[in-house]
Amino acid sequence: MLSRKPLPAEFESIKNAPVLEIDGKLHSPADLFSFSHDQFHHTMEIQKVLRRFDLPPTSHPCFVFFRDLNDTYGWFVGLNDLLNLPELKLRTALKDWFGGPEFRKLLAETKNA
Amino acid sequence: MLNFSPIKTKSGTIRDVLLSARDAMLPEILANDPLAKWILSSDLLQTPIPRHGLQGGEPSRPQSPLRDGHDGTEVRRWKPEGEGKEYFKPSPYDVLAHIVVEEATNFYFACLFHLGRVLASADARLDAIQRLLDPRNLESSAARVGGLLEIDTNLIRLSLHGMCSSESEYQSARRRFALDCWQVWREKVFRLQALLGSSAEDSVLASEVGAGVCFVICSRDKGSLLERMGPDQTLFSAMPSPSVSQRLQVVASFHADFVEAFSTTAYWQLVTDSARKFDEHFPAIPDPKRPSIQERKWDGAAPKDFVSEMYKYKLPKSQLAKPRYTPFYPLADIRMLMCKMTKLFIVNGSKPPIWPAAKHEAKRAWVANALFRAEVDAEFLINNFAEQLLRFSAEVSERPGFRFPFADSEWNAYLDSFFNMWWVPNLRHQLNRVDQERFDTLVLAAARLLSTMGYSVHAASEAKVPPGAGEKRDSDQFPKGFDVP
Repeated sequence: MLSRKPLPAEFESIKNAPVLEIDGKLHSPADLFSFSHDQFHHTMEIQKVLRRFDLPPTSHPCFVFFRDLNDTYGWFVGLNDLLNLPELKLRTALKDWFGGPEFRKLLAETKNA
Repeated sequence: MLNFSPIKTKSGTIRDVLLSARDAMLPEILANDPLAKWILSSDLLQTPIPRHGLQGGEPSRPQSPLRDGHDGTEVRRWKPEGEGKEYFKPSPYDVLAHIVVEEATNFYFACLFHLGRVLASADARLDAIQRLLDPRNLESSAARVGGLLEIDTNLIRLSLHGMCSSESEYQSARRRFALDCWQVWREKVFRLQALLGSSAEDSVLASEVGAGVCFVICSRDKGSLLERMGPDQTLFSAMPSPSVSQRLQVVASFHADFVEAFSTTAYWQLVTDSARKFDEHFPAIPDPKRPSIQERKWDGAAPKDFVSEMYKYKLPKSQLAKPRYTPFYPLADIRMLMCKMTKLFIVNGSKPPIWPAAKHEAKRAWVANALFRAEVDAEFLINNFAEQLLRFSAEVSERPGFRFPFADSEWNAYLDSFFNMWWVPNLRHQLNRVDQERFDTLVLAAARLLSTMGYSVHAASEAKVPPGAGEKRDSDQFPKGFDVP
């Protein structure tokens, strides 16, 4: 069984602060020493996918809709406005959006594409 | 307010982009591995999906291990009626093989990405920590943290050193563990691939199977092939371009002949000896239903009815008559002995006595054996369906005037009837309605698997199940009212 030591107490208060410098870029202690192994890696994976769609690395969370896998075009919907919403509100917001005029407009556009 | 904006890919289609992103997530060691490529080829992303679903879509070049001819030739697939092309006629063995392999492939597909992520994240952490320990980076980081916490920079530097050392040790262990898992993964996938004979020439497993087929061929051609094919040559090197169906049917006939050999006294002596060795090797297997070798008494005579004994083995203990001798062993024993026995027969060049009644059981044994090898845990979904399908095929084919459904539409109607009228009610009976969720899951999973292979079956609703069909399960009787198309 793999085990690891917890962060020293003095670092607990700044674990999310960008204080560790690696070749000019700042990282938080959580980036490098967090218990969630994928936390650091996950962002990199998302960025790899976004880069392939020619989208900025910070444009997540998002939806990318497409009509057919063989198409070369799709539709991007940024979800930044929904960040940090409580789960219940997030559900309501998404339900409203999928049932609302904006999504209907998107569907109409996909049909005409 | 969520707004949408159109985007356009510059590097190919959406499919290309997603495939390229998928491949980029795997570390090189995994991405370049031939076995990983084989598993990745089952990704539905690589199979063009028709715009209007399976029914109306254009037939496409199959690319996955489940859809490919393993010799690189295209496997003809089922196509809806009326489209006028000759297509591959699926046999029950195709159905079974596809179910077995697809279940396992999905599992190993997910495992591959999990291992890839563990390896990649461990590597990324190790690299970042290594760079943080660079004196320049360490100095500036310590100064920044020290300033924020108002602690002496030297103490912070020491603390960072300790953290990096501990994290490095941990990530290295994670990496080693992932690499160990990767080796296990490769071994399992190698065996799975060998099960289908994809790499028969260099596969130990395929060599076992191939040796068995050599035996079958030898016994049918009076040993003429024996002189030309040594026991180390495999079936698939002997057959230039066998389809999955051909492979499995030949393997199944091998097992039929193999079980026929069970009726010889010499064979039983050998089985008993080997089973004893098996028990000595694996003494700790706790299975109350399986008597220890000391309790098994063998009187030296060949069992008169091996098949019925095998069926007794499956009945509840209360219904199981105490056997006078020990004619049955778990399939695992049989599996273990198979290669040895086969080679023995090859060397002797002897033909076992014909025992047609054993053929069905042998086929069932093959299916269970395949499952055992593939380590697929879906007893009702696969083993039961497999058994019923084979039993049913054997039963109806003996009816006077029966004509096996050769046309695609007939076959699908046949399979559909079988699925809904026989397997579903039986499954319902076996689950005894105590686990409705499991029942639904299994039926839907089976329907989905068959559909992905091109079989147009659908899960029966409550209303479609004939009254009383699932109330009684009699191994020898099919439900009344069922008729073949």
